[in-house]
Amino acid sequence: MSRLLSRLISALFAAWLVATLVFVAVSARPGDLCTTMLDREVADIQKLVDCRAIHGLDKPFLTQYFNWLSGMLVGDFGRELRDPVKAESRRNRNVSDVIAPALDATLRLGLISAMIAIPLAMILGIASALMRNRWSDLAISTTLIMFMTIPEFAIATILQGIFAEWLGWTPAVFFGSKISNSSQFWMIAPLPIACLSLLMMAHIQRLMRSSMIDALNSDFARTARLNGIPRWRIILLHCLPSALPPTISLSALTVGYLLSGVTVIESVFNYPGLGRLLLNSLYDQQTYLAAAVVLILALMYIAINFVADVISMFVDPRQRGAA
Amino acid sequence: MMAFLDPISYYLADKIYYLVCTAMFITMVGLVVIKPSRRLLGRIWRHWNGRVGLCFIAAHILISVFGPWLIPHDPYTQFDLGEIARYYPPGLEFPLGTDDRNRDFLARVVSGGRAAIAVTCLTAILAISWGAFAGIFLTLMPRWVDGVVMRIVDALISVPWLAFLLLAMTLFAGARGFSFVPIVGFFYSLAVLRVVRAHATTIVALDYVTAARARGHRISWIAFHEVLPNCRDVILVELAMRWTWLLLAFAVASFFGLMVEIPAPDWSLMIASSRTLFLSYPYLFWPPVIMLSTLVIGINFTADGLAKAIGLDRRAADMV
Amino acid sequence: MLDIRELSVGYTENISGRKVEILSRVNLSIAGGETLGLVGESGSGKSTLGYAIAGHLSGLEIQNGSIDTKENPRIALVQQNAGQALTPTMSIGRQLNEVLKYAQVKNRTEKAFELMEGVRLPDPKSLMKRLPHQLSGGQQQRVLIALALARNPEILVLDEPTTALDASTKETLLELLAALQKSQGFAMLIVSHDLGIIRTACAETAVMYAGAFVELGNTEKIIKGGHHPYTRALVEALPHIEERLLPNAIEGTPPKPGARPEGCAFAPRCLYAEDKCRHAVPPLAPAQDTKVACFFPLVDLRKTSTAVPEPGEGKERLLAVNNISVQFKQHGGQIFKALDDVSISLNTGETLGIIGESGSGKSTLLRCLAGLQNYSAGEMILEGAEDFDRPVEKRKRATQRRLQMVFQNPSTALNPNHTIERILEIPYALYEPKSSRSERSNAIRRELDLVRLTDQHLIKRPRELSGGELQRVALARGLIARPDLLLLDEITSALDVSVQAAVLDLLVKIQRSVGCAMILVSHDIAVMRSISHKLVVLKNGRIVEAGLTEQILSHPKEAYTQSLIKSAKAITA
Repeated sequence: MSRLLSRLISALFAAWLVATLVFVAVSARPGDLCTTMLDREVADIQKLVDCRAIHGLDKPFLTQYFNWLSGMLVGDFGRELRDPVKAESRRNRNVSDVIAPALDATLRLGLISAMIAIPLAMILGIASALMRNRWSDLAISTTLIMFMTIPEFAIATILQGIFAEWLGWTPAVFFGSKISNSSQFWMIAPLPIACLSLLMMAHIQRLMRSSMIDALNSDFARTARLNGIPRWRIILLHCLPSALPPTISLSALTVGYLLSGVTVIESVFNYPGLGRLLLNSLYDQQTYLAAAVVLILALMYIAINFVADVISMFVDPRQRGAA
Repeated sequence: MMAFLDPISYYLADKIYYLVCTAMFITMVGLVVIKPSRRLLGRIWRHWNGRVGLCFIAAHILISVFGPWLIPHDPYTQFDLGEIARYYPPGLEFPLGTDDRNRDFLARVVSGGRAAIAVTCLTAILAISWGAFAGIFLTLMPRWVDGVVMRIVDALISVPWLAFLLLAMTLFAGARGFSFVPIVGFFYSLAVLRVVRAHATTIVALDYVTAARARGHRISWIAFHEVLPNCRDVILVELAMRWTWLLLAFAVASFFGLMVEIPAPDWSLMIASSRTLFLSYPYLFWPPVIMLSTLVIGINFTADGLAKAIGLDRRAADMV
Repeated sequence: MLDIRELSVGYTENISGRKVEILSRVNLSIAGGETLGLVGESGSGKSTLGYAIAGHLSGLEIQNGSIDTKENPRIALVQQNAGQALTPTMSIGRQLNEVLKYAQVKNRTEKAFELMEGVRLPDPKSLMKRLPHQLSGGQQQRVLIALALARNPEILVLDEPTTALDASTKETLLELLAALQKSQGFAMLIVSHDLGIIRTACAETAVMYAGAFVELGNTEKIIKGGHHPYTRALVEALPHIEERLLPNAIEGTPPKPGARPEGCAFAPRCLYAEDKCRHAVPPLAPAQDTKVACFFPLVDLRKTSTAVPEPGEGKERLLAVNNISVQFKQHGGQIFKALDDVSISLNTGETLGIIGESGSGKSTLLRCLAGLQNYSAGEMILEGAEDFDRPVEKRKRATQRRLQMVFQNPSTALNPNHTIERILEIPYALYEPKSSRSERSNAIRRELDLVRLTDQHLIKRPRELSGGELQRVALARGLIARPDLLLLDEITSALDVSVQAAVLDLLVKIQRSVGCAMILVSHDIAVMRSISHKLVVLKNGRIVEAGLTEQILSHPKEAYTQSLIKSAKAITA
């Protein structure tokens, strides 16, 4: 229990540090956001003052920082930076309102890929550990490594070319700004899911394979074998519980890389998730939006690692720390 | 977008690329000529993935060193081919055809890795030297220093590097392609730090380090003479592995138009621009994909072979 | 029940395709209810034979011969390192239950309790729920035995059953095994490097050397008067617990598999070898009361151990440690006293032995002296040094120099990346920064000579040397500083007995020629008796008894010391 608590504290510390980092990055740029946005027009002092008032830039630095932190706690990431004159149609929306649907879309994509890729990769990893150095192991490992070393945008393009353009099974890219219903989701999602799953599987399979080989070669597996326990039981009940935790925690660490992959895949398929939102907000100079997305991606990573730690604690009774 | 490698930087990247290539060529020759390293090479060769990796790397070095001499065309020249305005199909004159501005695609493919290799090589060296240095020293510091620093590292490692790179590049208008080096280098060094620290912790627990401390050596002496030599293998493998991930990272950044200015040849940009033509002009899509992937696979497999040859557990050194 | 004929086990080298024998032409038979000991030094193939009998070859192949078992007996094997041999993620109860299930036992819960009680585990009910890492080393070993007994074996093979255990735990474990054998009637094969436990537990013993039996017969007869030169040398290499005598070393190192000489494998190290020995392999043949694989079995009894000199008169005080205490904060916030009010004193040129079981604080005391461990109370005085009470990095170079430390395991105490020359040069260059190149190389050669190594070792790296050679290098590294006090932390416990004897002999000679004082930490009373002048007995961080070694060992006052000596005697050859 104390272990869980200490993990939670360090996760919160990480979240705080990242939030501060992003805030510093946003504030450290020369000039403030309103001058950048409005500089093309002849300086209208009143407009500038209004803009600063809306975004709270007129307050002292520390106040801004605490507003940012407290806003983050309640899910308020400020407002969109939009010049009311230039964009008549759309008023300054709350950043969180823009992010919510994108976050939802990305989470859906990520969770479904994870549900497909993780069990599959673990099974493949166990299989290649059991058949280590035979041709089937080589075939599995090499194929997955190929997917790991070909850049994700190339894989996405190839899948798009084959399944969307050539076979015409799914649309190549998504049109529109957000997914409104699940049939729409299932129309566009299969290819991004496939891409993301392939990206994930290689790592997990490799990790699973090597931890499983370690467990199979261990003294306790030999004891079980010497005591006449059948092979399937040794694999599932003796070796797997020791091999899983390192796989889980190391896989969670590779998520940081996957989050970059998500950005790429979403942009290739024009999938309305966080990645596309990030790119669009950068093109539009929506700094607050971009910062919020970066922050949310980082928080996702922290949360995933925390969950992974909790799962390992449940799989491996040693880590629970209970006497 | 808004940040490119401006022409001067590209000129610099080009020079660095030649430096890297020459260094790698010399290293390759050296590895074959010098006896102990030849033995190491032989040990890498014994593993099938080491063999594949070495072949790919050798092919890439040979292509980049001798390629420009053998190909008659320059990657920048736009040919006037009369009625065919662009996408001239492969033939004798242009073995891989021409691109949207009728430039020789073969010449562009051959020189398309320069910026990537130069920039990522710098980044990898930065990430490794800083990460390894910090990782080793942390293990020799009092425990609370180690604890505090590792908490910070754990927090920083959670920032998705691509997102942060994008953010930094838009925030700082002056940022150019080379800002990839410090930013991504820093984030990758965190992962290196964790791996090297994990290994150095096992070294520091050994009696020969205790013996050195009991004799009265300074911490810096212990780090360089007792710990570093025994982390050398890990660091070497890390360098190779990080380089492959950095190549992919560069490819992604370049795909978003962050790294290289358009007329300059770059594999990722070529893939990005021929992406929509994938089915109609496959000869413009596959060559850069194959070049990029073989280079990545080559370095990756060699590192794998190296790790197996020196009996290292590669698991902890994965992408983290 | 079990009959092994001309059994050769080995592996085929990957590239050359050469066949390498680990066991060569072993003949053995075991009848029901018998106990056979397999004894030998590391690399003699004794564990391989044990595993081969249990039918678990793990990558090795049978190259010749056969293992015949009559009526397919049930064979169980108990591995060494009980801590790693139990599945860490499964409770003891579940592991037992699982084995019983596949042994087709009906009343599993009852049987499990019966087994736990059989191996004398206290409070089986709560132990069943625990995980292996929550048990002590001795308890883990018992659980492992219970698991092996669950299948009701007819032959029980035990691989180094006592290595990780303290002397008293060892003794009770052996008693337990004997009792179990009496009640269940299985045959037992005990594989060990320790002649002491073999003597206690086994009626019959086979001595192995380089993958073959060199002598087989009654244990008492083999130990009291073995006929093979190796058996004799092995017994003489054991330190004596009854008398203050130095054990005899065996020169040279055993051959590695694949590099074994033609002819008798022991011939290159044998004092009595003749031409015939170097060309033909002697068969295992009856000679007087045992079976011996030697052309010229020894007949007469020989004893040439040397006595250790006492330190002379008129020594000055060198070190005084007064009432020091060391505390650690444990995970739960409790305070654990590693050392509690400990005082020792030492004169120049003396050897002080510190003895205790694991967890007694003996290594902590050494770390305090070396300045690697802070202490909470008390004082430490080294004559002529004012800064001795500080941590090592705050001591003056001259003080640092006066104290050198040698570690238990030489393979981790020497940097694998340095050559032996560099390993010896580093401390010399540290303490004599102005020395010239020739001075350094002279000093290095002088130390090598002192520990009886030669110039050809200089360019080698640690992995190319044997354990004994490595420990000599480690000693030389300490001695090159010409310290006043040498701290020796269990320096012989990772070594084979023959090598241990050589190192003990070396220590005595070094002390005579260099004159430094030594503090030797060990758990082995016999080692203490052979070289230390004074003795301190530690238990749970407190001194139980201190005084002259001879006096304590012949007339122990405290009950704890008496029990230590008793259990050491019980399992010593």
